[in-house]
Amino acid sequence: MTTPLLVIVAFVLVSAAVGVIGRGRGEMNIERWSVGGRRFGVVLVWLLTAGEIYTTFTFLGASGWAYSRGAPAFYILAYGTIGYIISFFLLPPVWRMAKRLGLHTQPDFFLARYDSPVLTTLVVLIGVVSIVPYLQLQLAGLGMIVEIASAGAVSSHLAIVVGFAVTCVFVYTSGIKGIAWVAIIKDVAMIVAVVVIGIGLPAMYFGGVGKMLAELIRQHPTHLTFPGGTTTMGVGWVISTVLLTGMGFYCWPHTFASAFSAKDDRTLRRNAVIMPLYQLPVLLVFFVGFTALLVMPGLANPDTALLALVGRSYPSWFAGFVGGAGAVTAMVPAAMLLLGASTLVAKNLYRPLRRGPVSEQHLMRASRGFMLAIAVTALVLALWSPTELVKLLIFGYDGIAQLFPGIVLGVFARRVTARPVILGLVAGVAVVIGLIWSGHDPFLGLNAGFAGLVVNAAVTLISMAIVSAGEPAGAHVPGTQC
Amino acid sequence: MGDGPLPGGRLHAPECVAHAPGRGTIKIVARDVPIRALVSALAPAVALVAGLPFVNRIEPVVLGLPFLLFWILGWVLVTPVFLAIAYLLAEATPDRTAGGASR
Repeated sequence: MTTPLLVIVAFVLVSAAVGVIGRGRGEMNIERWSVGGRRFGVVLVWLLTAGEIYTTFTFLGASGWAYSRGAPAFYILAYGTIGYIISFFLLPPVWRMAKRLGLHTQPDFFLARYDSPVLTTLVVLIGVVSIVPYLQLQLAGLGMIVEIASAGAVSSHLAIVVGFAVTCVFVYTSGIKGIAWVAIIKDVAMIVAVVVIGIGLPAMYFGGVGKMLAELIRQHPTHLTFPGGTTTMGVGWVISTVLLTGMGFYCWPHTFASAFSAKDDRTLRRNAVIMPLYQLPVLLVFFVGFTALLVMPGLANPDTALLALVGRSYPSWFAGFVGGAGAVTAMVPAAMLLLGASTLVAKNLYRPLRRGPVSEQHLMRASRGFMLAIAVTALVLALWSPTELVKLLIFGYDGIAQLFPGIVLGVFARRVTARPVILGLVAGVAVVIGLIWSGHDPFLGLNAGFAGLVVNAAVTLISMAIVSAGEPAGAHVPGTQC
Repeated sequence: MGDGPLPGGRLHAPECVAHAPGRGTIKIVARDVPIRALVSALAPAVALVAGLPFVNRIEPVVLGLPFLLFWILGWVLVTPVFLAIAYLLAEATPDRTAGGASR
């Protein structure tokens, strides 16, 4: 076994052990497994939210896009900030509603607010279908990291299977608290790795970030303005993508549910204040991608740029450290995605289908079963349907952001009922699928998901106006009662 | 207590309300932050995005960064300041939960 591979394996095993031990004592029930008993303070909530930000996508996808596309990658620096600003207003009332009504999942929220099984089912399906590409992204990244770090000794397929099995073990046993503990390891390792290489690599080859950028501007004068190395990703695409992904940021079932684990609503607001700073290491990842473009142009797969440059520039143990950090960075988000998706399938799809009472233990077993089923689906896709990492993330966002009108109106507008939201969702999703399948993404220079979101919001608002005009005054709106 | 503005320009209503209001209106259900806080928090988002068409250039290079990157980075860096102001404004607004109790 080579040094880098040894370091990666050690990293993965230690993390998994921490994840399993992190479950704490006592019997596991679905409340503890999925929302940690709703007792997390600012630190654990921060870790869980942060667990979302640094994914394999940040590590490999952002550097890959900086390498191949240039300026359009800057959207990654901007969208989190938009997402946190939205969360500042959105999450506290969502938390209060969840607390009062004992909600665990995002579809619980929709059911409580709109009282419509049809809408709830739709939300579950959109959630799970959007999560799968995001999960696939983490797996593909994990495979890439191990394959490159081991210089081909371990194939990416084997790495994907093993890494994923380990992830399943700690999600299965520990639920959300185990994930939060592994997230600590992940974030520390990740930040150390990114700071060292983000500052070190430009310094090593060009004597500093400023000199590296000056050289990049000299060699590739159009790389650092939109549309960069692309022909379609102009200002319109970047603005629509920032808005789409910013609005979609807290629409993910697992990010939405991470709000439920907070112990009070103020925690969420304080969290929103500091989070934008956590986006900064992305800048350093861009620098690595730019340096790679100058030092080793012409890579067949841009997503490998960061790893290739690190492998060439540092001693093998450090390359192993970066690889290990990257591997854990794939595992933590994968764990959260799995937990989120399986909880909602079990609770919001499976339980309503079973007539009669369902015991807590039964539901817990079902969640774990669905977790394995979703894991295998993503695994199959990752092994047999490879796609560029950033594309996978944007596909996921195209779908999940369609929930935004239903969430925002559900929280802030009393009159909204289920039907307009359903119509909007269906219209938005139809537009997104139509545009992507017919090859019209970007559409008129805009992100196709954003076009879907605009149609979605328009249909929702128009049908809302029609519905409320036809209803008698003072009619009871279901689900708003507490 | 109704849904009218409270002193300090604040609209208040708890998020869970039993009955719908008059027809054809969309009532605010969960506005528990004052307008000033809303403006403060949204300002950096609007500025960052709305500015993009005008800053899509390399020059002037600031601190070694091409202007486009400097613009985006700058707003990301100052967003916590704007959000902190919004947080303080929201906290300073009295009776965050008492309004809900009166219903």
